[in-house]
Amino acid sequence: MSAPPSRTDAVPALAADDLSVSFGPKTALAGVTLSIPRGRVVSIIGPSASGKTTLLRAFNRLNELTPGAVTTGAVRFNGIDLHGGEVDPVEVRRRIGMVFQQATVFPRSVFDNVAFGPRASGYGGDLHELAEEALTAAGLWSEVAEDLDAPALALSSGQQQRLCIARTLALKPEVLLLDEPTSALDPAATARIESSIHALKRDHTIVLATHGRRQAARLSDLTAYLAGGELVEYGPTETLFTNPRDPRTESYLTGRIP
Amino acid sequence: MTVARLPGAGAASHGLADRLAGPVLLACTVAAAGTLVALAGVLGVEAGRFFAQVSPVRFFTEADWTPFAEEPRFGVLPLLAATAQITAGAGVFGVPAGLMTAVYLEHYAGARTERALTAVTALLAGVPTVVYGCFALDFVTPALRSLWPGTEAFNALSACLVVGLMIVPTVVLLSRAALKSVPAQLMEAGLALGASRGRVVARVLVPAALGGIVAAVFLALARAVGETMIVTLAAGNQAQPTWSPLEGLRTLTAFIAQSGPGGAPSGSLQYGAVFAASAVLLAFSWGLHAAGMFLVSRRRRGGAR
Amino acid sequence: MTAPARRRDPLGMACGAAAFAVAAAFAVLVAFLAVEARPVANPGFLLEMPSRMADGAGVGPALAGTLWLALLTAGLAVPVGVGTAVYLEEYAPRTRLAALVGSALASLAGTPPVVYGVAGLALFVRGLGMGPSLLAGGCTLAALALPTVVVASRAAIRSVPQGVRLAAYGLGATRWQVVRGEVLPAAAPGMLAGVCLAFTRTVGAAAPLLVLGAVSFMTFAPRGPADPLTSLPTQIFAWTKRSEQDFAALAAGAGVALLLVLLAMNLAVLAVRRRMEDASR
Repeated sequence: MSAPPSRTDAVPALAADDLSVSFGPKTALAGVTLSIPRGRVVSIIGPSASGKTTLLRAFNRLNELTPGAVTTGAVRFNGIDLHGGEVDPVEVRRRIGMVFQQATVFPRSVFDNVAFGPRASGYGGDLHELAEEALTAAGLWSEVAEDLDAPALALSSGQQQRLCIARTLALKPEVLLLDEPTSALDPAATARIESSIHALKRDHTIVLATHGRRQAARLSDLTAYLAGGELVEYGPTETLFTNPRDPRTESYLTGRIP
Repeated sequence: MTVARLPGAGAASHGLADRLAGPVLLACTVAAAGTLVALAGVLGVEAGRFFAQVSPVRFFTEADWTPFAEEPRFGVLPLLAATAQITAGAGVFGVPAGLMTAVYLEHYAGARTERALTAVTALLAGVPTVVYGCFALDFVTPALRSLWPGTEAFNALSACLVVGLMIVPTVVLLSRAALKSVPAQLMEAGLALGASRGRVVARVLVPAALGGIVAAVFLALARAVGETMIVTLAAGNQAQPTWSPLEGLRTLTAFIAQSGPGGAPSGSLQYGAVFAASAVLLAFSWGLHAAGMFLVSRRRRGGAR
Repeated sequence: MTAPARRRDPLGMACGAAAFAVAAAFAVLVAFLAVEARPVANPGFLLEMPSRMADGAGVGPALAGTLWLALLTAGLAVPVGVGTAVYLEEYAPRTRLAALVGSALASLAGTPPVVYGVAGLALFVRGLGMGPSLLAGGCTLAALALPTVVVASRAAIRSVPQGVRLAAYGLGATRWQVVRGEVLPAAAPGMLAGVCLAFTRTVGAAAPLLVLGAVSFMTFAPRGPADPLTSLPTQIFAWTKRSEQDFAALAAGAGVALLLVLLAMNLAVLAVRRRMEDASR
């Protein structure tokens, strides 16, 4: 599949080039090629086990932590090959932030969770300032400002997920990878996270893997449909939703494929 | 937005600890593996030296073990037989007691009894074997002698009883894990069909956990084979093979512990005999242990029921 | 199921009888030690030297020896064992060699303790010239504890949810930051439990020390690793073998002392564990 036209910016923020990932005998991604233009929100939709998570994890080299993972093809970040010998995966993950499906807060205070990334990278500035900024951007500041030392596990699950977003924002990443961030949340918490994502669009390139077709439609500029590890269709969200070219995309969007 | 360069590996973000951790941890692994390889190595070398002088065929076929006689004989069969006898005897007492305790705790006991008895088995597991040995010689043996006056001061029965008690915690712990892995709905399903509780336990739950239970028995018997202090203290150091449980025996472990290898000069036949006996003991207990582990792994994969 | 129906069940009754027989055997064992040790129940017993005369003999050197051995074993086996476990779980490439090392270590847990004594005699006492010293005993016991420490630590590390690692790596933590900051604190309580079990077995082991050449008659308490090898378990063995009744009391007394040492060790570890678990909450 070809990338959508984005003439305004010659070098995309992220690009996958014939990217395949397999775990042992299981192929999770097969020859995916797509590019994520800078400053856009791109949704990755598709049924379960279609390779959404694997694609997101390929963008910040998390797949290699799974034993038996084999990656072929290339992933480029600002045009730099992420698997080049000179590239440090730790630095990659600091520049390309990720939020997981399951909110995994560390069993410590709210503040320590937000400060985790900056501390790990040896941030020299004012941690409190940074934490306030990140929590505000994630739409959580007003709810936790009173007691930043409260245990993070005491927060509601929606708050925990927003804390995870704040924690990632504290690294000031250029790209945000959101892996089904609302799939474990109720509608109210989902709405709050969606409005946070909306606000984050201004300063970040966002890749959002989601199970919710409507969420993709609401939030993203571009949408990619993955099935069985292959990229079926990729284009402007509106076009893809109203006038899909591939019959498989159509049957997914109409709910015939769960 | 500028396209910044990504710094290379080993950049400032990696502290000293990060660069040292890998090599240091690898060194730990090498040290651990190296020590155990070295220990196995010296055992093999010394046993090999012994078998260069004593024919392995005679070692495994002759029934005369008199390493300290003027004309020493090294036929390991009596030691091997005694080890097998003690192991079997301990199994006769310890395995049913342990299994029945496990079944009771898992399927019958009330919460409070269950907690108390679990604590007792945990405490039993923590008692050093030399304390068991002291108990065998100073309590169990006198008790047996008052029951059967012909009982020798060193006898196999006392050792079997106490080794049996020693392996109970192992049997209980492992077979309870096996019983736990059987879905609880089976019990309800059986009771709903009108079977009595005992019938469901005996005909459904225990057979379903059988693979794990057999594994538990093997692992417990492997401990009995290697048990040293109880048999040395209670069964003694009798060279003559016997079938009477009221007479003494000499197991592989008792020979190893009692021959005082600390005194035998390196390279002597007596010194080598201790290593040869250790090698036989290893093969015996590893065989049982490996069989047990194999059954455990088969159960985990869901192969055996 | 109501209690009376359970009680009428013949299998339940038989199994209950077996369970209570085991508990009764434990009670008899404890009662035997308590009654037998009564003649030596005085604080001096813990400090006095052993003697050819049963009267006034004590376990001073043996107790000191056991404490030294516990210290040496912990100092050697815990860092090496935990380091090995962390390496195999978090660092090692998933090669055949790493898998082989792991399973070989696990299968060594089935080795009879007395065999460690025999191998330790050849390697530490004679090969490396340590002689029958506390150091040789500590090295041998550390080798004995090592497989259990590694297996228990690996299990504890593996039980840490993968999400914690991913979250930390995803935030740009380095491998050591993930291990030191997330994995080890979460695995520590489980590790402690396993290590404690290994130590209860190891510190109570008499057979390997006997083979190394432990002495049961010392007129001074050992002051360092180079001093002669002596310990409570081997002291119990030596006194139990003496057939005189007075020595039986000494053996039981030493047994009680050993059990108290082990109990204190376990309680201390339990307290530390509780603290850790509270801290992580």
